[in-house]
Amino acid sequence: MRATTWIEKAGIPAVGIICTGFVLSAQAIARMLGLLSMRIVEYPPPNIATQTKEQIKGRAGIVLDHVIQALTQPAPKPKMVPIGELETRPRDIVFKGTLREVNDFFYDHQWTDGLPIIPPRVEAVEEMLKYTDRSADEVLAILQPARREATIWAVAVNGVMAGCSAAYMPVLIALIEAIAEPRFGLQHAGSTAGWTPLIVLNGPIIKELNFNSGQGVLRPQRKANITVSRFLRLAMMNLAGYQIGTTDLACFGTNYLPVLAEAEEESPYEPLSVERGFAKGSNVITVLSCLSMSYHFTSQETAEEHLQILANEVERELGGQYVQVMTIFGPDITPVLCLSPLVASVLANAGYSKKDIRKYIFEHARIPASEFDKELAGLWVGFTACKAVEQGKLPKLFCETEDPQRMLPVMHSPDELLIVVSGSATRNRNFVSKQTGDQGLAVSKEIRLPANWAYLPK
Amino acid sequence: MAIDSLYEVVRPTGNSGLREITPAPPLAKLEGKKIAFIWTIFTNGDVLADALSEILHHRYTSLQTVKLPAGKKINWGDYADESIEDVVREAGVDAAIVLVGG
Repeated sequence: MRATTWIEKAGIPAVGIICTGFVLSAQAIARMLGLLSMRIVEYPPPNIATQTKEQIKGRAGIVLDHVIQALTQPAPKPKMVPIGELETRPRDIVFKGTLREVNDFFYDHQWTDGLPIIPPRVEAVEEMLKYTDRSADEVLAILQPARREATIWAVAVNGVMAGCSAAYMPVLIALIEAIAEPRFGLQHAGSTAGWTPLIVLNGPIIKELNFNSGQGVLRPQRKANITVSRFLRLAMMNLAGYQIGTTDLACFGTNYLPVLAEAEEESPYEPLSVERGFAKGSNVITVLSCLSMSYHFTSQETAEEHLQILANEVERELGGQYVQVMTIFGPDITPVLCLSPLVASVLANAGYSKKDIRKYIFEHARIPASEFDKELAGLWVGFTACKAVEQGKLPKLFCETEDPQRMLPVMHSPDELLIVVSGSATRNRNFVSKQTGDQGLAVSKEIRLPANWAYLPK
Repeated sequence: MAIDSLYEVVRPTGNSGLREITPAPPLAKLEGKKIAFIWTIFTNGDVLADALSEILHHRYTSLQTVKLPAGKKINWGDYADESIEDVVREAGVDAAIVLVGG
C-alpha cells in the first residue's frame, strides 16, 4: 500500500483495495510514510487469491460502491497520534523500576523480543560509546518502514538491551549501515514470507571478540554470535519499527539466527569478504535475508560426487516454489551455500575453486521448464519463464526455446551463489540458505574500529 | 547488583524522521474523470481491476480508465516504486485505484 501513499503525496486521491487482515498493516505502513489518513477499501474474506474469476466479478459491484465513496469524500480523520508527539529526548529517563518492572515496562511497550533485557541505563549506554569514535548524536540512517533515526546512541541502547559486550559496538554500527542500504530492501522485512536476516562475519575480529566459527556455530550459546544477532532483531523492532500484526505480517516467521562467522583458518578458500571486494584481513559484516535452511550431508569419496550431491541439494532447495522468488523479486538473488571445512577441503584438494563450484552447481542444478512454468502459473494464470524473459524478469537463457523439457537453472547466474565455510571442521555437512531476492539482498560493510581499539578491553 | 535495585532507563526507539503528508482532496464527481488502475502485485489483483473497470464504464459513460505500472521501468503487476508519483502525474489522472492481490 506504499503506492497509495505516494499517489496521495502527488495530490491525487488514491484508494487502496486490500484483503481483510491487511488493513492494520496498510495503515501502519502509510503512517510510517507520513500519511495518517488513508483511503482503504477492504476486499472481504476469503482471500482474493483463493477465488475464481466469476466469484471476483460477483463481488466487484459492492467493492466499487466503497471505492467511489472513498474517492468522492475527504480521507477519513486520523485516529492516530500525530507523528513525533510522544517522543522524548534520547537521554531522558523514561522509567525507573526493578529489573522485573523494567522488563515488564519494555515488554508492554513492545520494545523487546519477549526475553529479558539488560536495562539500558545511561551509564551502560555510555560504556558502549567508548568503542566508537563517532558522535552519539550521529544519524547513521533513517530506517524503514517507520523511518526512525538510527543514531549511534540508539544503536548503543539496543546493544545494551540485547546483552552485547561494549566491544561489539563497531559490529553493531556496521550492521545498521548494511541494512540501511537500499539494496537490502529493509522495507520488505515484514512480508508474509517471514524471513530473518542471516549475518555472515569475516576478519580477525572473529577471534578478537570470541565469535564461534566452528562446531555449533548457529546454536544460541556463544555470547557474541547470539547477542549481536539479537541486537539486530531489537533494532528492527525499535529503530525500523517492525511489530507483529501491523508492520510485520510474517505468516510464521523465523527466530533470529546467531552470527555465521566464517572458519577462515580452517577454510582452504578466500573468505566471502575478499570475494566481495574487501582486502584480506578486513573485518566485514554481510547481511542478507534467510527464508529457510536445508539439511544435508555428503558421504561420497570424490570431489565430483560431492559436487553432484551439492547440485542436487541446491536444485531441491531453489528449484521448487522458490523459482517464483527468483522471477518476481528483482533481478538478483543471493542464496548461500555453507560448506563445512572438511567438504570445502575435499573440493579444494581436487583443484576446484569457489568459481568452479559455482559453475558446476549452476550447470547441474536444473529443473524442466514444464516444472518451472507450473510454479510461475501459481502467481498468475499463463505466467511462464518465456513471459518473464519478455518482461525482463529473467535472462534470455530461460527462453532459448519453448521446449517444455528444456532444463532451466535455479539461479540467474553462477555468481549469485555465495559460498561460506563454517561449522564443525571434521564433519561432512552443508546447508543452503534460501534468500528472498530484493527482500534482503546481501550487503557487506566494513567494520570500522575506533583509533584506540588496541587499548580497549575486549 | 541486587535484583530489587532500581534501574533508571532510557527508551530504545529512534526519533521520527518523517514529514506528514496531507491527503489529496476528494473528487466532486466521477463523470468525465480519468481513473488509473494500478495492480501492485500478487494473485487476482488484475482480475479485480478488470471487473471494476467494466462496471465503472457502465455506470459513467464519459469516464476514462487507464492501467498504469506502479512505477517507472517496471511492469503492470510489479511491486510499487516511489517513482509512481511521477507516473500518475505524467499520465494526468484524476484519481487512482490501487489493488493488491492475495
